[in-house]
Amino acid sequence: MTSEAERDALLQSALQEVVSKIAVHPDFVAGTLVAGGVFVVRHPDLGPLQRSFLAEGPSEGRLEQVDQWLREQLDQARAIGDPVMLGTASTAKGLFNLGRPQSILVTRFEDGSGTFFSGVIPYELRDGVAQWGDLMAGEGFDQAPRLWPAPAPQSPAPRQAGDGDLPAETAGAAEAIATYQRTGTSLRALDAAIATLEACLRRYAWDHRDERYASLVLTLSRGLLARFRRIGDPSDARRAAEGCRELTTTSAENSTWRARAYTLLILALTAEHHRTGASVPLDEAIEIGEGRLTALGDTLTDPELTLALTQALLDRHMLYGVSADPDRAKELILDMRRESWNDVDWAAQAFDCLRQIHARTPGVDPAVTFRAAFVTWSIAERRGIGGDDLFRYATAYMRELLAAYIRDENPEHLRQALETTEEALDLDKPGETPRLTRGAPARVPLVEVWADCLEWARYRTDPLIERFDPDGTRLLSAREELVAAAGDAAPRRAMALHRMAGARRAVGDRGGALGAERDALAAWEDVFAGATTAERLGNADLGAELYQACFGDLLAGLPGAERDAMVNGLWEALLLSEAPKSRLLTEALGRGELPAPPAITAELLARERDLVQRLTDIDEHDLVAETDRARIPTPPQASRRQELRSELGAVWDEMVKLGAEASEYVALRRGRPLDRERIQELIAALPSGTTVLSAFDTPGATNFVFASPGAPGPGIVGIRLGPDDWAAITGRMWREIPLARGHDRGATWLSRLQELLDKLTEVTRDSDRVIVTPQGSTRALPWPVIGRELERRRGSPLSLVLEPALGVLEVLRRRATDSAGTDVVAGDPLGDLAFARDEAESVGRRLGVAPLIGPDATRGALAAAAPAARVIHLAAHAQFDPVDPLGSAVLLADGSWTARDLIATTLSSQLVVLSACESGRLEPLRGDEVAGLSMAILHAGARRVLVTLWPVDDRAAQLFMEHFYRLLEAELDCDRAVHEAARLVEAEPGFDHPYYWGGYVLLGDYTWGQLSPAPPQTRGAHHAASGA
Amino acid sequence: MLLAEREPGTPLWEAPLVLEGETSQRGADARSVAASAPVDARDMPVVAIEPPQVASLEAAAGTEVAAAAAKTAAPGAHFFVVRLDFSLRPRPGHVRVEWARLRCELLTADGGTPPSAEDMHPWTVEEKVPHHVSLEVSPSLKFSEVAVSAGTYTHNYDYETLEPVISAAGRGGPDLTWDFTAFHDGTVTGGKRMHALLSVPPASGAVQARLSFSADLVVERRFRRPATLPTSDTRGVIELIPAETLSQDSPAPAI
Repeated sequence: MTSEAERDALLQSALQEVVSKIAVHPDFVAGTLVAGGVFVVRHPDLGPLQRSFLAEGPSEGRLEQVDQWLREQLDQARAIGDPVMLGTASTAKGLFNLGRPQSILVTRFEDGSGTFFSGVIPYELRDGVAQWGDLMAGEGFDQAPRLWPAPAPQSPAPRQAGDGDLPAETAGAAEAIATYQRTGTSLRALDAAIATLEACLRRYAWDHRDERYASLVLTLSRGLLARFRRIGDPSDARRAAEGCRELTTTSAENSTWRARAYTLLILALTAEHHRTGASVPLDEAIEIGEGRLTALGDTLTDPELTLALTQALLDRHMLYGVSADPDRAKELILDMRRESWNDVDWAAQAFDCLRQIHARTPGVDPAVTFRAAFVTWSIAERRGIGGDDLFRYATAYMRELLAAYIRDENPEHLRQALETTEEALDLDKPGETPRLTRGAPARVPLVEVWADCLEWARYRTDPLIERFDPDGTRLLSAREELVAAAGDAAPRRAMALHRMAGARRAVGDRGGALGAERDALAAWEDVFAGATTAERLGNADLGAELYQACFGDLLAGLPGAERDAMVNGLWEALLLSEAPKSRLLTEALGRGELPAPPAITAELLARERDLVQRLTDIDEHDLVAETDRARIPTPPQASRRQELRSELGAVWDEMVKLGAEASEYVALRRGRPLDRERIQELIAALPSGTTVLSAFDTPGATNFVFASPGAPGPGIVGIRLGPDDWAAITGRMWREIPLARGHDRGATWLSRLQELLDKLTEVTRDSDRVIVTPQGSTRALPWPVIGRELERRRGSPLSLVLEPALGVLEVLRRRATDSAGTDVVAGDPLGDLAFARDEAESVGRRLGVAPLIGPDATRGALAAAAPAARVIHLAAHAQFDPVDPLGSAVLLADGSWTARDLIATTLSSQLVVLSACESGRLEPLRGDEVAGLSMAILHAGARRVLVTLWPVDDRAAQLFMEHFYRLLEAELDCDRAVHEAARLVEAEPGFDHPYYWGGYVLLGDYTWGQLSPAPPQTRGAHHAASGA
Repeated sequence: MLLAEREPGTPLWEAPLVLEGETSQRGADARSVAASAPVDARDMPVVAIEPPQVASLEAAAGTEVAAAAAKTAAPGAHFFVVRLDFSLRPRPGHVRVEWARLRCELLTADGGTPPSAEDMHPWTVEEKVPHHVSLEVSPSLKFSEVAVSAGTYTHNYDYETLEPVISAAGRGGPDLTWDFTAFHDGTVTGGKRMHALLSVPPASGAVQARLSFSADLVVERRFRRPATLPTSDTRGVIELIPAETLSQDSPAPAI
């Protein structure tokens, strides 16, 4: 048996050993910190375990036993929802307030080995933990050291209102949050505090009107919001918002808790918007803020709330450019100026608002914000404000200096910014403890400014670069630090890596830049995989930028590459070109009715389909809510979605184990972008004579990656045309085709595309079909007219299909059997399109159904018949809304049938024809997520859709459709039928202008089996006798 | 003057623009247009196209310039400077000329290789358009219009871009166009003068030009309507350079 003194000595020795290893071997520390960490455990089983361990000494078997025991404890803790906490020295001190911990284990889970020590003497343990705490506060501590308090041995009695003070642990937690907010150096302390507060909330039966409950929820919300700002997990912001939202109704009417809850709620919602880009929380924040302000009657009654509201207004202006928002923000700021203006915090916050107002208001003298930043900093210095706050003000001023340099190119501003940031960061004193420790919230922005200054100096080849960073190492080092500070929190990590790539590019390291961009993309894809629709849309711009940068770096490295590297590079280019296009649509289609492989059991499939349907319902609701500016804000159902996503993920994981086919099925269901294997398979399966043209813009150029079945690999062609060139080309095209309305105004738009036409002629020389996936500038091109020009040059026919993305085609071609139900034909709902009426009657005759004509073509009739329809044909007016593309609509007899309505509908049609104006025009919602009527129809489940690019002529549309259906009856593929119909219209006297024939495009699956009247037994109410 | 039979100052054609024949369209705007009041011809802008003035390059710019130009073209090619003028007089009222195009298609009477424009003037004329962007402080990131993602640190940046109000096309070919775009909500108005340097292949027959004028009008501030200038029964084709001029060794007189 070991005496108590021996045991204590052994403990000390173990601790010393760990500490010495930490001191000597940084790698060991990192490994230890990454894999395991410090455990503070209270458990009755632990005593005997410790004693036997200490008696027998460390051995591998014993360590395994300990690890096993710990794992069980942790699983148990997770199972009952008890805290799984992270902490450092300060947390440990807080935890000691819970009672004396019985032991501390230091272990490495990575390989099961490590050091174990325990004791009952608190101060010794505290010292040990303090050592760890110091380490955790230093470099690398974000890597995940963990403190886990085990479940309490007995459940405390339910707490009653008025039952004394708050539990002791909350005091430590509140202090930890306050410390974090002050110093920001210990994320683990914050984690521990949050976990403690959550445990406290769960442990007691709270009366929600109790002020102590309000205090606890507010403190927790403050912590969650602080952590959200650090690591960017949107669930933190949402939970903070939920807690505060509850307090705005349950806490006493005029209590300070309610006032703070309102402010914190607005901040939480705004923060969620910052992270996700979603507009719903922002609108809700403003609605709540304005409502509260009206109730208070004065901005000064609750200045914090007013400032939070101001911030939300400015953010909304940033998002939508509503000019009334900055005016309202300015009004609020100026109103608050009546009092409290001299306080430096107010000055700083007001400056921040002023800066943002100015940043978004044209024609304001930038010197105003420059002076404001300088004054704020000066006031702070004079008042003796130190620490992080002073650094914060200094950072704002440094940014203004940099902005002034960018604006005026005055090197004095740059020099001052570089010198000051260098001094503040102690970069000239390597090896010494910096004033601003790594990871501190005040340090990160300052490092950002430092890196930005270096990057601009390099970009402009300013002579100062020779003094501060001649070889670029300091720039790279700063960017590396920022990547580390971003942690695993994507998309912050994605952005930090993207900036790292920029820095590598700036120092001439193209290969390194490509690597960083690939990492950034991986981080972004992680975000995308589990995010809500709103979050995806919010991050779509960043995704588009990352893909563009990665594509650019890849292309830059291709010339001179070996053959294999070239082929690999071109496959990657094709994947990069396709990956960002219409991801939401691809995912929605992937969740449609795909045939499941036989290996998947019926029970598993039923579960999966049920979950998928519920998830799809939420996503469709969120998409509509996120994009409809006229809606009443409703929070996204993020928590419910997350639960469903987890359940579905588990089902998919189960399916993946059932073989390769099942795995492939799951890949489609998940909506993951195409990988090389899948894209090769897709292209190989295309008919011979097909060429895929995947368009992708890079700055100043438009590229087409092309591939054909049977070719050794993809190729690429590019043309040097920038946004201004494309604006001129599309502007001319629009004047010369749609606006000319059939009158010859020339074709100058085509003359600007000679180089592109030459290259595409060469690329498509052996093809008779082209599948184009346009992107960016090429989306606005009239591809049928381009196709006709290529035909003229080649001297042979060339049919053309547009696809939102190749991934869409892949899913459509694997779809389950389409509906064989009643066809639906409607025409001339408003009674002013004579040819549309004739067209509907003619199509109805061909399909064997009675068309809905004039007042019969109602929303109700279509909504009822469409879901089961095999073919849907609408000949009507339509309008495209470029500002709100999902508000684009077909005009029916009793109102509009919008793209939003269509998304909420489920179709299984083989073909939908919108013979109406601009039914195929698209505008990006964000990034490369485009929307319009055609996308909505595909989203709803149609296999293929025939739409128009511009306002079509009534007579020509009728002619076109007449030819089109006749050709389909002749069993031509759909794209061939469109191509041939266009050619036949062109041949009609008076219809040779592209306006009449060049605006019809097919999207989706271009193949077509046959078109004949639906079987009689499937026909419904609209079935008409032959010849009707 | 090569076109001596036309009196200077007497327009080739002068008339109010006429709206192109309206066909029914399937857009919501088309319904509004159809429902809108007809435009009175007296409200339509008046366009006058002057007879083109043509001179040999030698006469217009001197022998040195002509000799230099000759080095760049096929042996025996002739160079001519063509001046085109038109004027556009909108009437006060509800019709605004948003965009207008003068088009000059070069033809040869004998169907041979048509002349091509070696140069055109004006090529582009631009107006300054102020912009306001939020600039993310990094050279590696793009400038983006105000709708950058929130939460990033941005700075305001005012700048001006040049947007074309006159834009020509057709250099190197026989189809010459000059586009005139109204600036902001203004209207295209006043006299416009254009020049083109033509290269006529050797042994070419008489050179003809088909002149046409088209415009997009905005009626009642809402409806965009295409319009054109009706030309004579020649469908806008006039003789630009007589065959005998091309066969003469002596240069044509200056404008």
